Amino acid sequence: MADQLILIIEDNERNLKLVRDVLQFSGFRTAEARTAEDGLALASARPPDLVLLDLQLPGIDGMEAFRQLRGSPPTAGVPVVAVTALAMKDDRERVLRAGFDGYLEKPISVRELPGQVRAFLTAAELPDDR
Amino acid sequence: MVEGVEAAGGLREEVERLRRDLAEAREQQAATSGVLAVLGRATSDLDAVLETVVDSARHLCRADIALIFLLEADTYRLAIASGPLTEEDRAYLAQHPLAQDRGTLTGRVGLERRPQQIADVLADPEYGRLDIQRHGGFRTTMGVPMLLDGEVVGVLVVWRTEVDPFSERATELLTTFATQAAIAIRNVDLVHALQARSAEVEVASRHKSEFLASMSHELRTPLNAVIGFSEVLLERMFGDLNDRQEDYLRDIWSSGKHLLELLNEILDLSKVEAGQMTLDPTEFSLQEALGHGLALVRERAARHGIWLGLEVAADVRPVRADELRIKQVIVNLLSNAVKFTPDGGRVEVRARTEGTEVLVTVADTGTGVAAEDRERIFESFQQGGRRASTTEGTGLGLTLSKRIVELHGGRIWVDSQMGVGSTFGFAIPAGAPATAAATGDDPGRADGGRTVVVIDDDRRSIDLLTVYAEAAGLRVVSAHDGRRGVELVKALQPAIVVLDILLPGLDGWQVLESLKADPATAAIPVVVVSILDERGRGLALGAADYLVKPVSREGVLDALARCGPEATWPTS
Repeated sequence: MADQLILIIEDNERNLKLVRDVLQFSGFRTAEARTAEDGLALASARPPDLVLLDLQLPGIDGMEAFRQLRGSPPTAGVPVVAVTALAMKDDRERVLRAGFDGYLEKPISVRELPGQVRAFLTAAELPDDR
Repeated sequence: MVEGVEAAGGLREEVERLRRDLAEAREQQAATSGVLAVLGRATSDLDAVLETVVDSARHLCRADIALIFLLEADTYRLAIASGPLTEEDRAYLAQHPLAQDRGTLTGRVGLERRPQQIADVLADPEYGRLDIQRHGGFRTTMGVPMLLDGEVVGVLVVWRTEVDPFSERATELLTTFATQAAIAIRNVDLVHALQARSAEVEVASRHKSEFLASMSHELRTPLNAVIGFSEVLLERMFGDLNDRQEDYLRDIWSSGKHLLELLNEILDLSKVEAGQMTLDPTEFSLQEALGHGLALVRERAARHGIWLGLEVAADVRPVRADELRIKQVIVNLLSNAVKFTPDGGRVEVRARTEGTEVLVTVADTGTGVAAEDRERIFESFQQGGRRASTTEGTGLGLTLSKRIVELHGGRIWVDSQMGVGSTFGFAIPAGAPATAAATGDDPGRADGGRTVVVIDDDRRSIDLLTVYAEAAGLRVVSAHDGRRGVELVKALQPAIVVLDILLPGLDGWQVLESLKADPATAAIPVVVVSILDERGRGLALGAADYLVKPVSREGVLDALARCGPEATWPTS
């Protein structure tokens, strides 16, 4: 289970560092991108096991990046989790209805993040009967 | 004799004249009140008012045609006409405005600001708009100004096709109608101004909400780093800490959490201030709501050796209010009480009915609130003298509570004695007398002792939860939608329910409410496992625990152990 590659797409330097360090500490490999464009390029060159995608990004935003990930064959099956500081309740449902595999609200919990990522990966491995 | 006959004839004429006058006066009065009624009814429908005015004016002045010209950009334009005009003539009149000069009657009325009459336009040397006369086909014309604050806004005009001057009485009548028409115009202007203003306010309010949403995002991003890196260090991911380092890190972490709480309260409060907080009233048990509040502060109270008590009078019925918001108030009062009570103190919660209200009081043995602060602490960013070096608090909780209680038509107050303690209380209207109260009714569990009902529409989630629950020695029965789930829970009386929120049809919130509202299922603990991170709402609705997907095995086992068959839900 370790050695799994998590792609973190996040424009805020410190939050990127936080998530990267916590995941690396827990035994994950990480790849990082500060824009959706870089993230999409990285993802299709080397599909990760999971993408943590910040929704507020400069240029292409998270929603559009998500659509492109799903629309491109190498990354179509990669689980994508939205990470966002949006505070409005409607946004949460909007994200989930858009088809994301999960939703993490900032501030993320350092203690819970590795377990959450593991659970997202486990959920993605289970057969999907739908 | 002859004189007598003449006198009698004169008398008869006089009586006849008076009768005619009376009938005419009645007719005029009826018409005037008709116009007034239209005015009162249709403040925003100017056309309806002006139409009534010209119809009445034409009829009562025995004119052939009545018209209103309104002053627009220095010329008089036809607004409305009543009478036999062809479409072509109407169009001509509408498209050919009149100048503010003596060349037309309308222009003259505008200049003189008082009623004017031309007995025969064809004989009037000053009359300069024979084109209008041709299309209107009139000879005698009379007009009165429509005045608003002394300014002419239009002219009410009547025409006769024969030379037949209008009487003094017709002039008076027309003046009355012109006044009504002017008032109608002003009303419509006011209504439009009001509509424009409220549209502006709406835009401003939307901008404010957008601003707050983006502020919230801007503040959360750095807070994420502050809280997150503190946690990394406190978890000792990259090495050990000495006591002082740990102490400081806890300060950084709790200050970050405090800021986050403040941010959430500011968002809530701004919603109230903007009138955007709407209540969602349901009938619920106040006793359960108080129990829920106590459960949330129990850990902190225990840490400080504070005794918690709950006493609900027998006459307290379920209330009809916004459950989530009332729970927010209860939690706020309780957490303040625990926060400001020294170690070893007491916090007592009481509820009773008084007249048409239900009263809830929270009494503590804390430091007390000085008399001069007792009003102030309910206003934003005030914490009174209760601020102590060892306590934190946003100072917004009481303000928010006050707003919420007031939205319910209730009130909130504090009684306090310095050094002895404070009692915070609130009162909200008592709900309608309930029929069979659904509280405290425990029919006992059937043979569901070690069964767990999982309600989730995602096969994978059910599989995962089944693996976890079976590891805890529980039997899993699953339902794929809310309705079936509720049926299963009623039928099986399981030890515990694991509930997803985003379900087809009846969603998880509705399932939770329905389970908690039914005496047969209210006591069965429900653990919500959802991708929605709405722990507060879940607990407020009576969930025993709330886990956010993805859940770890440990998380599920912990929750099952806490809430499952062996555990008891904490009560005071």
